Amino acid sequence: MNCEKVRSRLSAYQDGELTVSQSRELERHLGACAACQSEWEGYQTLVAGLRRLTAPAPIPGFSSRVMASLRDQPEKRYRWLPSLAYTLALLLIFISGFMLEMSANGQRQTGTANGQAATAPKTAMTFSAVLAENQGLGLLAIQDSTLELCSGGAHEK
Amino acid sequence: MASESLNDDEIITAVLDGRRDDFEILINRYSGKIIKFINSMIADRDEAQSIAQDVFIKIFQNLPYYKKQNNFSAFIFKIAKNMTLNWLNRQKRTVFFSRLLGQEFSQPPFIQAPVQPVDPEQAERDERINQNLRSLPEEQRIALILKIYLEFSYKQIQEISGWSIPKIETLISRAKSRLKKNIAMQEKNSVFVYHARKK
Repeated sequence: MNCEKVRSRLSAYQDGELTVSQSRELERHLGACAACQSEWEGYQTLVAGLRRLTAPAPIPGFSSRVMASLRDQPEKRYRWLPSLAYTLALLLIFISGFMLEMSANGQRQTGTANGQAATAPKTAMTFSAVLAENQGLGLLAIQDSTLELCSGGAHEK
Repeated sequence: MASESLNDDEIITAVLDGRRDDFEILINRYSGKIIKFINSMIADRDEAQSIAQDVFIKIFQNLPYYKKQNNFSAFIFKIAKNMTLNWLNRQKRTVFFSRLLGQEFSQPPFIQAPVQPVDPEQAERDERINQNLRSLPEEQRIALILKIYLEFSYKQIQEISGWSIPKIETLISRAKSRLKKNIAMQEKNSVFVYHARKK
C-alpha cells in the first residue's frame, strides 16, 4: 500500500470496516511512515472531539407525552379516503376539461365543413352555455337541475 | 415488567394485536438515540424533542408496514432521517422567504445546544467542532452522525439511507477530512489572533 492508498482508507479503518488483511497491511504502513502516522493521529483527535460532544437526554416524561398524543389520535381505518376523493375530483376536472375542448374543436370543424362563414372564435362562453352544449353531446353527465340552476330556471327540457 | 425483555419484533406484534401501551417500551428503548441523532442534525434541543415526538407518532402509524425480521432500528432511523431533513428544508425555505421579503429572520437556522460547563478552551474547541459539523453537506453529516454518534456499521447506514457502501465510505471519509482541515485552519487563525492581541 502506498501513502495515497493508505490515506484514502484511514477513515474506513478507523470505522472498523476493513478486512483483517487490509487492516494489517495498513498498520504495517503506518508503523513505517511518519507522515501517514501523523495523518492517522489527526483522525483520532477529530473523532475523540466529536464523541466528546454531548447530546441532550430525553426530557423526563418524554415517552408519556408521546403515548398521550397517540391516545388522542383516533384509529385511522380509512386514512386513504380523503386522498382518493381528492385524486378522483382532480381526475374528473381534468377529463371534463379535455372533453369540453374536444367537443368545441369538433363543432368548429363541423361548422367549417358545412360551408358556414368562419366566425371569430368564441372567446367568452358562459358556463351554462358550455353545459348545455355538452349535455347535447352527451359527454358529461349533467343533471337538468344543474342547468336550471345555471340559467336561472329558464332552461326548458 | 416482563414485556421489557421482549425483542422489538415481539413488542410490535403485541402493539399490532391491540396492546398499544407496549409501544412505550420501544419509545424508552430508542428515544435517547433518536433525540441524539436529531439534535446532532439541527442542534436545537427543544425542536429536537418536538421532532422526536412526531417521529414516534409516525413510527406508530407505520408499524403495520414494518416487515418483521427486517431491522427495526433501520426502519425508525429512516423515518427520523426523513422527518429531520423535511424540517431542515422547511427551515431553509422560511429563511429564504424571510430574506426575500426583506425581513430579518429572528431565529438563526441552527441554534447552539447548551454547552456543559467545561474549561473555556475545551468549550471553544467543542464549539468549533459543532459549528463545522453543522456546515457539512447534509449527506456527509448524516453519514458521519450515524457512524460516530450512533455507532452504526456501514451496512446499517446503508439500510437507513439507501446509499451504497462505497458511497457511505466516501461520504464519511470526506466529512472527516473536511472537518480536520477546517478545524486545523481555524485553530491556526485563533492562535494567530491570540498572539497579535498579545503584541
